[in-house]
Amino acid sequence: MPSSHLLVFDCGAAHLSGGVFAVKKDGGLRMDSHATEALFANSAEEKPWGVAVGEAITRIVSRLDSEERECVITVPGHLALTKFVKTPAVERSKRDRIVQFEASQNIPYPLNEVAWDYAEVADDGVEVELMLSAVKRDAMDELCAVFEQAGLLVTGIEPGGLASIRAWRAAPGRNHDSSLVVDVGAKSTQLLFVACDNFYLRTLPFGGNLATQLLAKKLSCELSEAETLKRELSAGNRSSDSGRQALIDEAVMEFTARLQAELTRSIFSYSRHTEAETPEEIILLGGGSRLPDLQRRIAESTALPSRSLNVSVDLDLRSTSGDVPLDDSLLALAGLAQIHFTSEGVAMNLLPEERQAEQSAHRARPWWLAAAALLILALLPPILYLQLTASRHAERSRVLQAELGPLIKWDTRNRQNLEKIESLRERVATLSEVEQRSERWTSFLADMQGRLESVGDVWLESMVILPVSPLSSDTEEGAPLRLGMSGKLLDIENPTAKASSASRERVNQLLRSFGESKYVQDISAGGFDKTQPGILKFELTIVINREETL
Amino acid sequence: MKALYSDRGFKIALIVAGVVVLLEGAGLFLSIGSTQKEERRERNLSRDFTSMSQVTPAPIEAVARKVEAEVAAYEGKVLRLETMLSGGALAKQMSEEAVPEERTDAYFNLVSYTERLRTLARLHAVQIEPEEYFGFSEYAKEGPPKKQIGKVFRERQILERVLSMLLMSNPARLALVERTAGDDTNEWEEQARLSLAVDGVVKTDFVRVEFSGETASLRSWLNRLGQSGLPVSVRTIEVAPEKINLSRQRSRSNSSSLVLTGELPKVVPLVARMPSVFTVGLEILEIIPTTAEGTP
Repeated sequence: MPSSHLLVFDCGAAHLSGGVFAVKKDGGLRMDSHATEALFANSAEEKPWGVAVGEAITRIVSRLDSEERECVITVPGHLALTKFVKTPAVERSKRDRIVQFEASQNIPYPLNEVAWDYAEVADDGVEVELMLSAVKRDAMDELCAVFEQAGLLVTGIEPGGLASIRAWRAAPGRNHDSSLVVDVGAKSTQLLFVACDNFYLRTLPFGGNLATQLLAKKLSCELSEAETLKRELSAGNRSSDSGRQALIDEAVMEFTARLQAELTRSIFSYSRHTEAETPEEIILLGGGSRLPDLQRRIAESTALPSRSLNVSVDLDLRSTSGDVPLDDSLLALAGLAQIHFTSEGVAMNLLPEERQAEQSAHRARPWWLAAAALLILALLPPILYLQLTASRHAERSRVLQAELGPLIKWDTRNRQNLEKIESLRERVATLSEVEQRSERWTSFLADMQGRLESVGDVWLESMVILPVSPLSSDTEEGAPLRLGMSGKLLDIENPTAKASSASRERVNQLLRSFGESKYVQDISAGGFDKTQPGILKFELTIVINREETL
Repeated sequence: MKALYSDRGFKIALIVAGVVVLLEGAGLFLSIGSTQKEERRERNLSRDFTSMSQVTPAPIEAVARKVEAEVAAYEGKVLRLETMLSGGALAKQMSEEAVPEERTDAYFNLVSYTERLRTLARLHAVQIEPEEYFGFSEYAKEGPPKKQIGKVFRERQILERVLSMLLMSNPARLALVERTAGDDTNEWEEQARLSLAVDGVVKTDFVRVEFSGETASLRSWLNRLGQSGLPVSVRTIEVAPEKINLSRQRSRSNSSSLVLTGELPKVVPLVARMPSVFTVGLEILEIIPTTAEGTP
């Protein structure tokens, strides 16, 4: 989530400006604090630029009184290589490869030795105009390290010219659609052609220091003296010595003429640019732009109205502290803040990729950790739910088990007892059968005797158990018991007659009587012997009832 | 991504988080398994509970007591039948007699048995063979093997009572007493067919007694046997007219040939009364006791 405040720095060749910006309720930028430090007391000072920047950062940060620890910075024009190229308008997915190719063609260093980026200047559907910008990676690493030593993390680096273009495009004080902003720095001069639909940037390899050198040469004095003199001139002071003043005027004229020539050439060149709009005014800013008559002479040579940048009017920025004067570097600072808060306008980032990746990773780490924590936490509810469910099932199982225990016990006992009853029932049946059969012969004989007595004068002489007939279908064990009997019947009434009809009737009566016995299943007469008078011998076979077997 | 993991602390935190997630994953997996297991267990128990509520007889104490009472009733029936078929009081009385421990004691026990029966035969004028051993002829000269002493002793106890009853029923002659000997099953085939032996319930030994006399002797003997309560069952009875030699007929003038009679002729018999030969197959019953679980 972006911070509500932004700390920005404009790194010039001879100055360092810092500011803290926020967004007003109406959406406009609000500058909370601002400070500018000159990097060198004089142009002859020999200490490295990086060291000077480091010293200035500390002072500025203390003056800004900001707690922000991340910042966005600009790089001066003399460190950044800027090229404008046109490429065919292709799909976005393929554009990066084309840009990569163009960069390799236009940046005169191996790409792995520079930090580079591009911005789309214009796109007419046929061609895309790109602004390529590159800086030496070593220089950026050194610059970032300087900020890190001051406790600040650089999250974005942009060419100062691009930030200024963006700020001027959005500046409330801009009166014309097309302007030329001339930023005369110490070592370089940046020409910013700002139109509605496109822009162009050109860096001139000379700046205010050239004026200093020309003054030193003309006056045959030290650079430091010349620098002091230049600043006095910029403040409107003139030398009392007319001869010396003439030499100064010559030097200024020479610088102005060179700048005029570059401006004229650049305007002409820009005017030839496809769809380019000729600037309608020239805005001058930077320390070198305050030389006497520079503004008038440029206006005359270009035939364009020229004026200096009025920060408070043009940018609608006011210092909240009040006592700090507003300088021209605020244009670049405002441009940096604008893209941060509104994301409007073209932008690029020259922060080395490794650092961008590191910062992305740094920013992503909390999210990764949050995601991991979320994942950990997300798994806890289902685990707890499952544990709870399992414990509920276990509790219900325990209750069921407790209820089932006695039931199972009684059921087991019942089953065992029922099996026992079945076994005992079979045993009772078997033993009862044994008991009944063991007495059955006696009962059978008594029954037979009773039937003989009921007929009278009849007796049995023999009784044998007949073997199972081999012709029978019954098995030996299942075959009914067959008894073969023979006996005699005495015919008292006809003792001399042989087998009277009465005798036969009595035999038949005996057979019927036997047949009625519950022990007899079947009976058959075998034969009669009537040779002896008064005696009828008979033979019979009795089949014993299976149900009453002996 | 390389930059993302360049921070050692972050890397460790991610590894720890990964391990925790893995552990949680394992916990989740185990929890799922545990939940499913408990759910299955509850379902099974619930099903068992439902099934149990439909079981007949109902698995409750009151019903179980009724079933146990029924078991006790059947056990009583079995005990009564077993006691009766085993000989009842007589069996108890026989079991109180001391069983010979040695072959010699068993031999003399059989000798005294033979003497007692011979004496009884003489007393009741029953004709017997001079060398009659009343079923134990194989032990005429030596006692039974030690392993069989108990069995032979029990058979002797029972046979002594059976034959005493027969001799007291006044048969004319005791012709034969045979016991099951060895595996000669052919000889006992008919009796085996009618055997009361039931696997696991009743074990039997066969005895065959052949005697001659009148039907009254048979009836008297059978009645005595029936009332004695001895563990003996009549399995076969065969009757045949005796082939009488004249001398024996003279000596036993009152012998009769009628086996099962109606009314006898009172005046001049058209037929002479002829003695019959009775062959009676007996089975000595031995009840196989049930085990503690109620099964044989």
